[in-house]
Amino acid sequence: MRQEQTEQSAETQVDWALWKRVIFHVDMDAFFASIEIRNNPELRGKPVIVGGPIDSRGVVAACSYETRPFGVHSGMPIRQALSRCPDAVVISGSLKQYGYVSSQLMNLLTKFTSQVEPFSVDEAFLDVTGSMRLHGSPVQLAKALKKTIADELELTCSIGISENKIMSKMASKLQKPDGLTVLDSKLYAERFGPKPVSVLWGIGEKSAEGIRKLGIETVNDLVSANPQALTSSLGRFGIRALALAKGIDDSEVLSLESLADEKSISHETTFPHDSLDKAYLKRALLSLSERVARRLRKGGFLARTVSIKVRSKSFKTITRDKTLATPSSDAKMIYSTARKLLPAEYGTDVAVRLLGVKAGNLIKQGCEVQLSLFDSNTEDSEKGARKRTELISAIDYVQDKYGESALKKASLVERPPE
Amino acid sequence: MKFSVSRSTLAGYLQSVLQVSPSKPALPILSNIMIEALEQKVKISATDLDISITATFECEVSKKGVVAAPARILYDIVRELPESEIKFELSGSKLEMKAPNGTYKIATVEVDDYPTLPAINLKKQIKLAGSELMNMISHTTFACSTDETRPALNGVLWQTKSDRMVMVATDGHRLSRYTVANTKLKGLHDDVIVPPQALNLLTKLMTDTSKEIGIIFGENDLAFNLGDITLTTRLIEGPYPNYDQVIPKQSTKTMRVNREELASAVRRVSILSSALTHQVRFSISGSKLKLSSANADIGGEATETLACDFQGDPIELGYKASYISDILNKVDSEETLFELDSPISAGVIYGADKNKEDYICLIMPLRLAE
Repeated sequence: MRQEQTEQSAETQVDWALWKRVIFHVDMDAFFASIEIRNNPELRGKPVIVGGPIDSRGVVAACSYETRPFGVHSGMPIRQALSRCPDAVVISGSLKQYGYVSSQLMNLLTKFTSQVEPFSVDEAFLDVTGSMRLHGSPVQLAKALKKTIADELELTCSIGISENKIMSKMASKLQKPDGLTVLDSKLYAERFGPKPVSVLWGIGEKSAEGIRKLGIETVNDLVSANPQALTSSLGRFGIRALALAKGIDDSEVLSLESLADEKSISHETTFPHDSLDKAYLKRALLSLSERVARRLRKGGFLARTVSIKVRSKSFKTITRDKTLATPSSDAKMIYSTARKLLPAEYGTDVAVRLLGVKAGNLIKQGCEVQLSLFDSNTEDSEKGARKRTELISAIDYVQDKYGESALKKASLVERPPE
Repeated sequence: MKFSVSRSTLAGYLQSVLQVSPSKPALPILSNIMIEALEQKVKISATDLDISITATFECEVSKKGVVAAPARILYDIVRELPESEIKFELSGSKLEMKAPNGTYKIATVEVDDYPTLPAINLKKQIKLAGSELMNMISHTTFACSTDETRPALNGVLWQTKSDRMVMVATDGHRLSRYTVANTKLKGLHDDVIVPPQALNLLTKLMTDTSKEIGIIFGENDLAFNLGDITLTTRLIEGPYPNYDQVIPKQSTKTMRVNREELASAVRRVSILSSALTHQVRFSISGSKLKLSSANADIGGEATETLACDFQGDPIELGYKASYISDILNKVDSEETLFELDSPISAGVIYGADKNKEDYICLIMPLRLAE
């Protein structure tokens, strides 16, 4: 019911036509906990905490809304959460599965606009300015999006709609769960103006304290503060704080499409134990290379350079890179390059705690590619290259549909426990 | 071991063999050189396992022997000594150098640990004109690939079977082929693939190109005999791709343009080319060649128009600037001929006043963005 009220107020107070951009912030509700409840309906209505372990180190990764009245929130030590809400069901959870649902979610979002910026595992910014003509009003589009997520994933989300990323991010948390909130700059000032500055996105307790020292308590105080005074005492953060207070933000929604400006795609992994196992490190490089290559292909990019990052047990971090003779999005090429970049002593004499693979100097596939004398002239190699392209796109199709673990290199399959 | 040699003689030869003594050797022992005192001559050798250089010079040997000693340190000492006879003597495990101004001692290493250098059978050598070899090498090596995934392309293909002796290098994007008449090597050996590093070293060591150079084909290696210095290189395993079939047999368009004018225009225009592709666009029609580039990152654009003699339908294509520059540097004639067909097929470049059979370069375009 709340949703309809918002919609009405939005439609009476907001004039879409004046908006330069329409930005959504889609935020999943208690993501990890909701997935566990979806998978096990018996948990529905119960206080559920995902996290652990239940000892001095464990923290709450996510908690269902039933735990919130007890003052439980994510990031809280699990022991403290249990002392506040002793009936809570604690689930250790499966990060692998959450990652898969997250990729399903991001895939769904790209059906509404190509401009999707995954912001974390369970939130994303969408620039839907170009989708308005197709979907009518932003509220109609948001409702369609929520329905798709509910139908396909059986999960709920809250959506903030505004002209830029800051305001839409602030909007999405105004109503949770299953909310839909529209804010323009006037509503933004009304809703947040009287609140303390710490309510703003990106202003934590520490920075809020710095601001309070200037005699600034509320967002309204910050808006009317002297910009020179702010920057002279807070530095560049002063400019950022003022923009946050005013809800001003020109930053683009950075989708994979617009990643060409970022010029790199990377994945890294920290091992549970520092590794002296060369074969294990090679498998990790292969897995990272495959993920990097897949993202390259999704974005329609070719990498011109491949780099690796290696952190030793003693926290010494090195990077090595190499320019490919021919730009590529093929995991085979990225892996064979990455493997050669790994210095011999790593995994034999030096224990490795982190490995990363980066594809850099990205170029858009199909533009200004250096043509090859041999590939374009010899029928055999052309046939071979075409076959390989077909194979890769078939694997991509299966992985898109059934998840990345549905089809993988035999060397990456884990041996089942005996 | 005991011998004496003049400082300048030894310094010169040390400098030559040090060309292969790697600064970051694959094995620590490779930072040493081997010194062999034989009957009235001394041999010094260095190797990086792929390429070896040996220098042999006459000198007074009073006691034969062999040691391995740190190459750089030895050279640094010899270079700094004033001109005089230096007396070398092995005392214990130390190599002692006596000059009029003092004595230097350095520790030697176990000779047995030093890699065995390939034996060269000088009886099998065939002599070639130094200038001929020099020309073939200097016109081809630049086009070799550095991509280790296709090892054959890391080398220069040297064909000696037929009436024409051919050297070819390509990285898959551009190709250079130099041929000369072949009488001496004809039919003696199969095609070999030679590392360009060895060939470039050879041209450095070849101080007098009017002299002849001995060629000795081994099973997996190839040696060049310069008289006092021999260079041996491991060969790269084939097969080498069939380059002949990528050389266009005919063309629909030809352009004749002043080489120096084009080379300098490409250098200027490429300053504002894309940092990623370094593309310079060639728009050719009538008697005009327009070069253009654009760099979105810095918001720069450049165009230059040159006069040319062009036959065929107008064409637009993109080239990587350095590929064009490299080739124009090597095609040593006043005017250059381009034989072109389409924006996605190989262009043939050669000197307008030269025989096309002698030296040609191929260049593949960059596919233009829409």
